[in-house]
Amino acid sequence: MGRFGFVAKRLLQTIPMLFGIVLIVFLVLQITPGDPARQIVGLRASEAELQEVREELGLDDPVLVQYVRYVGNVLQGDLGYSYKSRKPVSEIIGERIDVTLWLMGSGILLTVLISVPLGVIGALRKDRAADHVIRGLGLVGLSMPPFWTGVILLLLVAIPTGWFPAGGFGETFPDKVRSIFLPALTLAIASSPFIIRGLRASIISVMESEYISTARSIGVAGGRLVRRFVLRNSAGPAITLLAIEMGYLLFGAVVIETTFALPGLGQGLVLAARGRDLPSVQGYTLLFALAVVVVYLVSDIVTAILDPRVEIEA
Amino acid sequence: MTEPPASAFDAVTEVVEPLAPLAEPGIWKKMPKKVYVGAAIVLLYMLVAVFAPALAPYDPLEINPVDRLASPSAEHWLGTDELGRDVLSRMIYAARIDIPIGFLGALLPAILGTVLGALAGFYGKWVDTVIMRTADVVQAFPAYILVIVLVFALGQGARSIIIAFTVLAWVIYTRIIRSEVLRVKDLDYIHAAQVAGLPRLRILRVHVIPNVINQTLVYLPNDIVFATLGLAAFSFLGLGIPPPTPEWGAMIAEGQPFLRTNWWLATVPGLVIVGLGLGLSLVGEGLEERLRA
Amino acid sequence: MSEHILEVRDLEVSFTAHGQTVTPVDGVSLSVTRGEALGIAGESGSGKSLTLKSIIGLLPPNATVVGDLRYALDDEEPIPYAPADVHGHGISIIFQEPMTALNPTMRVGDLIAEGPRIHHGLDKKAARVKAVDLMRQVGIPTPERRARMWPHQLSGGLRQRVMIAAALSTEPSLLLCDEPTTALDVSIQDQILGLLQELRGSLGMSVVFVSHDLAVLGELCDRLAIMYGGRIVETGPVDEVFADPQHPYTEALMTSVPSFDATAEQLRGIDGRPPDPRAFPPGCRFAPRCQYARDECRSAVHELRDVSAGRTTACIYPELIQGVKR
Repeated sequence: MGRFGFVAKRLLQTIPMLFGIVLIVFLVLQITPGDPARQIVGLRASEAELQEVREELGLDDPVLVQYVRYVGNVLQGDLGYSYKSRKPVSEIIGERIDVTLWLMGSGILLTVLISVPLGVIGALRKDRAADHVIRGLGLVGLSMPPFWTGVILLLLVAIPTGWFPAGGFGETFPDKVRSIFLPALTLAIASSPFIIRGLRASIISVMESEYISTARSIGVAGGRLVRRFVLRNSAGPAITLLAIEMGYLLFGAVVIETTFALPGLGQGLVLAARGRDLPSVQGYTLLFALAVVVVYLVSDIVTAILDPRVEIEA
Repeated sequence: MTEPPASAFDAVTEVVEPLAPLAEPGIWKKMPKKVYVGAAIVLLYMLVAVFAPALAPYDPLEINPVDRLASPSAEHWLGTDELGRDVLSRMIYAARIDIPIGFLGALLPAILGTVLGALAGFYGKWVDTVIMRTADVVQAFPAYILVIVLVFALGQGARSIIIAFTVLAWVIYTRIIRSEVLRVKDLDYIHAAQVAGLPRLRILRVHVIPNVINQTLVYLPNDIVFATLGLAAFSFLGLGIPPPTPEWGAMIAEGQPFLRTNWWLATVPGLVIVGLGLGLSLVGEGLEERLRA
Repeated sequence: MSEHILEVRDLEVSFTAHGQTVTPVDGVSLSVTRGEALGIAGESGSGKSLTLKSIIGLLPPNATVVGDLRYALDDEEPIPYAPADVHGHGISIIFQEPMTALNPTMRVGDLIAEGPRIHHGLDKKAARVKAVDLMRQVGIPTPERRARMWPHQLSGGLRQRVMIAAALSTEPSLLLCDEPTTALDVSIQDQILGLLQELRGSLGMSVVFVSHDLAVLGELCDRLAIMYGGRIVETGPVDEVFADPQHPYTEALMTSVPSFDATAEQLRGIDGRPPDPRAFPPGCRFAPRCQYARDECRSAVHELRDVSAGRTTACIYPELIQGVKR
């Protein structure tokens, strides 16, 4: 089977996963206490008004019918209407997704910029001073709640220098960069310890391989050895790790958006959950779960491209 | 010259590597120093939680509108918050919330995951299939986002948080323990026990689980860190422990608006969380170093 | 011009873990003359492979190496060297398992081109041409096409030829071989041995060949060193050692080699296990398994001594050995 076959097979595997995700998100609606119709029409509405809304939403239909309808709606991009703003959830998501993509994109970029050098140094200087310092920093980083890291950055960087806004998302490109830098750095500080640890372990095991001995014996050393023999072989596990951390990164984004008052999806989810706005909570959750599935898929494909052996294992 | 046959015990210690059995004599004495440093830190936090009523100078819930947002002084070592409550007392009492929930939120999934992993590995067949397919689905979700959803569905509070962690965090233990059981299961002494006609459940309990439980123990301290950080994060977001109960993450959120004037309100609770996290991480790292040796 | 290209004196390799030190190579001395093929034979765990790897400095970082290593550049006298000095300059090595010895994420042609690029300053294109030449030289058919393949796309025999081409790419004068035929099918083994023999003749390289298989060593080597328990126990020209072993371990190794006319009685393995480096027996380390052993064997350590021209043994009663019918 070739590379194309591998990608096709991997795509097929995600389809049942997507149905499972929609099912679980739908089930949350069923176990959540409270009457959705009452939420929409308010406490003072009459029984007749309630009944009207119930029929309109099909809340009296059997659960299975409701599930099929929900799946159908989701497939058409209809995620329902927010109880609060009465706007379509898909529209709210459209307004907020920009900020979150900025945060995740720049956060992952900073994570890579921090993790790769520190992971390589830690592995090549194993058990020496530099390695101990990096591992110590990693332990501290792991123990820091991301929202607190954000508060510290606001206190120590944003307030004294005045270079970065204390919250909100800018309109112009330079303002966007300025307002996303500290949140992205916070995200990178939260996620780097995992990636550094994984990359270090991966490089150490690659360095023990016999093909590294081969490379050394023909005189390949230093940066050339790392670039041409080590990095590509240890990148796969690190990328997989980054993908596995995606769920944690998304949660980090939720917390960090709240800390820095960024009007993104994470902040939207928190506000919706606090306001008991069920359709919005469902919509955001579905989107986050979808994002994780897509990231897994992309990471598998990237790993396959990096490792020429995947085609025979697929 | 013939050598004495290798004992079953030798075979076990060889195969259960990379983790050495905790029952190995003297292993506790040979723990790296960081385990003791970390354990001392964690113990200190636990003592603070237990003796909170004796240690706290004020009632953590007592509102004092006259004395709001006071700076640190002899009466209020860490000042007061926007409702005039003594911050030090609230910090001390919060240990009674964060520590038990953090520990339970990690311990319950560890127990659930270990049991399920042992069952899946030991019995195999449909038991294995059901457990592992469920694990696949749970793992595909962004766990912390699902905690938000579960807490949304179950209602705010400690109970919901612990249930949510238990439902979502067992998978890693199940995977590790299952693969360990699969390795241990094929050892001669397990075969010997089976031939001797011991009941399967007893073999599992007496011969298998004690040999794989270390794997759970090595992971547990890190998971307690995650559970504690998670609880603080949910409370920070206003989705965890509802006010006015003192909780470190919620205190950070309450203090953030006053960052320019009363910076200690939002920073000191975070330092306390980092301290606990470091203590637990040191224990985890040290255990791993010793047992993987 | 000195006769020796490599001299090893009192080599010790040790590892320390949990306060316990083991010394799996314990005082090995050997030398290789120009153009010579030296075979080192022994069971697994005898220290033969560690000896080879310490010559080129490829031991794991937790190993401690003590001893005097000397290597002769061109026509000069052997001088002490640091292992990194000979990487790509004079000494090359090929390994047992060509799959793990080749970088899985590098096309084989690029790997072979590394040496010429680094040491001969060739540009990318010229190095690639050189790599294809080397592949042709080691008998790889359609080298232009195969140079663009990944290691996993090649058969075991071709992989080992790639490994040999990579080793030759730095134009070594000494080639170390760490059981390079053990992982291969028997028919492929013969081809690789034939190739090494041929290259040795055409390039005038010296070879140190490590194997547990005396038959393989007999085909390729001029001289043999037999290792047991981290020490050399016997040396000598291949024919003489085979005809008249001077150490009981050599004799035991030879009787464990199957030959076509061997009777069932001759086809026996060696009783007992190789010694544990954590607890070597005192005195002669083979004594616990030796059918001729006496009290003197077990009490004192016996150094290698000359028995005749070019032959040494560590056994104090070589005359007891009955000899092997071949």
